[in-house]
Amino acid sequence: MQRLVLFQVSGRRFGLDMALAKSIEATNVPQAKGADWRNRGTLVVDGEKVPIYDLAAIMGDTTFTHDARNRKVILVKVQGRYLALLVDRMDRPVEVDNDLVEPLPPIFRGPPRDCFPKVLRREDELILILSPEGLGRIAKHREGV
Amino acid sequence: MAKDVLAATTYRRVIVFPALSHRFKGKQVHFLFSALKVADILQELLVQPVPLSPPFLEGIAEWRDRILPVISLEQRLGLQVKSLRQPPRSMVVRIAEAGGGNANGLHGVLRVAPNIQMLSLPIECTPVSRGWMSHEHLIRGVYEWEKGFLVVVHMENILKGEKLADSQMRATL
Repeated sequence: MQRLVLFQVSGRRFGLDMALAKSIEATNVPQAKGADWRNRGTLVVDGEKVPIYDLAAIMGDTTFTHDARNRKVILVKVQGRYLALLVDRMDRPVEVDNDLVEPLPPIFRGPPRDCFPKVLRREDELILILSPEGLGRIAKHREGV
Repeated sequence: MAKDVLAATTYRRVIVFPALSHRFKGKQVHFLFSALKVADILQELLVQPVPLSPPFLEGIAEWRDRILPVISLEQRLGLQVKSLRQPPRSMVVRIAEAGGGNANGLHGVLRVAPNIQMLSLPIECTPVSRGWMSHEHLIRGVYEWEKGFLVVVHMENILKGEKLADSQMRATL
């Protein structure tokens, strides 16, 4: 069995390994107006300033309108570094059979595979499971541009 | 025995459909697949986009408890795509994996024009240079026939994402 937290970004549901989520924080960060996924503020964790990454902007879809009151920040720790992920809303955690989680088909390479290496089949829905490590690499790459 | 007859009959049949692209040298481009490689043709399919993917990958879809990539062949091959008046069909194609280790093989979904034909071989055609296609390693052959060009793609290379330049994927960043 795997335990996942489910969340929504731009009207779509995604998953994250519950073991990676250190905490879930309420936020008053407004919705991004454009593709700027940085400068969404910071969280201070253990005395360290952690930048908030706007997932909708990273995924390239900021057109969806959501209720700002539902927005949350998921704090994850990857390779000793914290990442704060801004999402539109949290759904209930789920426990799923391992055989419902499959790798993304091999034709997907590079950024989509880095960010979403696995997919959960759940009822009539396919839920991409986020790898914060892959997302962190993409964020780092973009910061370097 | 009946199965052998069916296999032999199917072996000589091919699926042909027009590319959703503008004409090349004034002629319509068509794709050709062996009927043995076409597992299903669906009128409707729910496609889930995968963020950060290149434009030729429309997303993923569930088919018979499998998660399959949904591909625009035209965009993968660098053809100029034109819009379609009617909704496209979803064609599930399969390839057998080398060594036959996995009897089910790899599958993928192609978005295709609705006017799909099943033809019997042989088809009168002449091989032509594939040099005008921008991704030659994804093409098995290009032929000229009475209705324009026939393109036979290398589905294994496409589904395995082989030789896709890292820069092409990184371009989505």
